[in-house]
Amino acid sequence: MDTLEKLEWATIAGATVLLFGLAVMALPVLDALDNPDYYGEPDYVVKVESGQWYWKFIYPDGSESGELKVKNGEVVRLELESTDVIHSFYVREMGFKVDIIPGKTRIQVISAETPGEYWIQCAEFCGAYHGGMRTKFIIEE
Amino acid sequence: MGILSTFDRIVWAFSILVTFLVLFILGGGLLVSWYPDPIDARAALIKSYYDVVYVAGMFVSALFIGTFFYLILKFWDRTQPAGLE
Repeated sequence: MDTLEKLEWATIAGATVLLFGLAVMALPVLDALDNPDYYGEPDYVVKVESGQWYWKFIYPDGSESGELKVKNGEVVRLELESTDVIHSFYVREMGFKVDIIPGKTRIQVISAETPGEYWIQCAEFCGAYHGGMRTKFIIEE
Repeated sequence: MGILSTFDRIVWAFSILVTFLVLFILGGGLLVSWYPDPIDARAALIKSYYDVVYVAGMFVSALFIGTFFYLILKFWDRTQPAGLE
């Protein structure tokens, strides 16, 4: 086996090991993103309505708010729906986006672990005021 | 020994190492990553995977770009005028 052949095999083996390793490491992350039971049984459900260009949060007692407010330590199941076009629920500090397709209900369970104020930003271009379609996500002490 | 001498191999490895360090510095290193501080366990898990992919991608980039620089160093025809004389 000459040098170039060794180099070729080293490239194939290296790429295989690297990609296989990354794939194995991705499995728990994919589970964390897609599994609605990742945080166990949710404390309550908040319905999230998105539209051009607003967010509306409907709590179990029927009250509505333009901001998402939860208490520290709570596990909340979000049921996200869109009234018009595709929107995307995005909290940078939580590391995920959920595309909200009109006519479908998307589920995402969140765990409030760090009190503070964060931004919820629409992350799918949805029209003229897409950039302004954001609101606060407040985790109270 | 093949087509590469020991000196060639050292220069090649050095090119890859320097490229990796330059990419690491250009990317802001790990301390000032653009990725925000995670606020829950899942976000921390996602960030840890992101960091692994980030470093692995940087390593592969350094391998290719460093090899490119090494080839330029090795096969530069120094008998030709550079135009700067």
